Amino acid sequence: MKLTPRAALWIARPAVALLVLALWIAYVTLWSIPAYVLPHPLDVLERLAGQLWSGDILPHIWATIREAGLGFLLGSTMAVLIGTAISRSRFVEDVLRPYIITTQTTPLVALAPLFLVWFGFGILPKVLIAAIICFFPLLVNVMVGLRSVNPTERRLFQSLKASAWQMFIRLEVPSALPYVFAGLRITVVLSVIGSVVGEFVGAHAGLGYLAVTSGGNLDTELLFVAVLLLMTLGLTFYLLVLETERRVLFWR
Amino acid sequence: MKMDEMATHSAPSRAGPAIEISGLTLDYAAVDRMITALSGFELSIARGEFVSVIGPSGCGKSTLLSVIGGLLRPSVGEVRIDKAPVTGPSEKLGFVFQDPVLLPWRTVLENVLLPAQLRSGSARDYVERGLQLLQTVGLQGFERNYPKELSGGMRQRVAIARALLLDPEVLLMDEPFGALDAITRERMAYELLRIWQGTDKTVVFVTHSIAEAILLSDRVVAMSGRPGRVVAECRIDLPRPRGLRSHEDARFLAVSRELHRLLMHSEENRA
Repeated sequence: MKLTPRAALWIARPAVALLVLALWIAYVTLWSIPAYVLPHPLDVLERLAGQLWSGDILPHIWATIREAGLGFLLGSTMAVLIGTAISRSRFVEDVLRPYIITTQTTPLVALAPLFLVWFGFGILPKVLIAAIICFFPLLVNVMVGLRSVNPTERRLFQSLKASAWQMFIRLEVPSALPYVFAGLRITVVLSVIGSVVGEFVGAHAGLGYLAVTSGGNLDTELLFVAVLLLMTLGLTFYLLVLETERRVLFWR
Repeated sequence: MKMDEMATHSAPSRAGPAIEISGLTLDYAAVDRMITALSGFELSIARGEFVSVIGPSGCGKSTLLSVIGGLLRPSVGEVRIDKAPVTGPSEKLGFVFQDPVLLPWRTVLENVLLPAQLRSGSARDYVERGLQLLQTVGLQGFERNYPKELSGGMRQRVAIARALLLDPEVLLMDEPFGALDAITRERMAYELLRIWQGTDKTVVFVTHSIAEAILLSDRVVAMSGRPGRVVAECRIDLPRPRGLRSHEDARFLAVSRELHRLLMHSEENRA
């Protein structure tokens, strides 16, 4: 029987996951690995189901969703506003460019302890870390996107006596949108990482907090549950952005 | 000069010049020096005339169109359209570029309506005309399609319809068929003739195809390499309407040979 490439893909993809799981199970069973080193995947799933059923884990999930979501919204909004403002002037952009690039190469998560000192153990420092980690990559994409208008498009608009505002709203903004969404796809995932980093440093709730505390208790099963949920969360956020992009950039 | 002999045939009698270019010089600053793109350029174009500007790459043909269109200010000299000096872009002019520059997020019709929308905020009053123009350029039924669904030739037709929307007196065409394959290109030339013949528009058409220039034009202006000047003007008195058979006309061949020789010659002088 001949498979279409598409069908082959749909078989091969889950096969990779099954292979990894099989190796995992084989390893922990054959070598009798203790659960605090590496738990059996089925035990992890059982623990996850139990946690969801009892509802014990829900506040943690909700805390991380809130921190990452708010951080993402805040960071993205700031990036779009400030990126747009900066790109209005070539001079300002040229002045600030080296600083922006420097900031991109700085591991901003290292600021997390400082935020703890400034803003305490509540939600605010997590939101800010998530926001700041989202801010710079998107800022760069907004600026590049607004500059992506090609010279002939500009000539066309000039020849039609377009005002600066028309040029911006009818040409530059739509041209920038693909770049903005490419940035959002990256930053939405970063926002989850940012909130987890914030929780690592000091928190009372959240999946990152859960991972740290369960790791400290050698409750590796629960640690895996937290990581699994974080993965799911990141993926869900990513798919939400992707779906929004598909609708907004209908012409692509 | 031989060219002058060819130019003795009388022009179709039309009203006074639509475009007058006098003493036009344009310098611009490159990275390390000043470059003179055009130098002492003189040209007068009659209302309703189809003039092609031909010359080697980098001779300032496109720059010339930008100056006529008010997108660039000349360093010296001036351009007058209907006796009024050009000081900036004007609705009397419609541009068609080599790249059709359609906005991919707009439908074909929305792209055609862009000039009206930019002018008055709303294109509602122009929908009828937009549809009519799409019919003229042979794109009825494609109003709601997006540019990515169109071929290169069709996109350029949309660009022509867009340039005609506000009913400009002058069409400025900057190698509009330069990016098309040879067959589509020739077809588009015939299409353009058909569209133009139904109007009273003055056309300034930049190209580097000698055959295309002769086929389309009432007059061909040959330019030298940088700085661009007029090196020859050649009136094309092939009968209209023109078509495939125009290529076989002895006059077509004679003018073609002459222009060819001239352009090659001016290149040699430059080198």
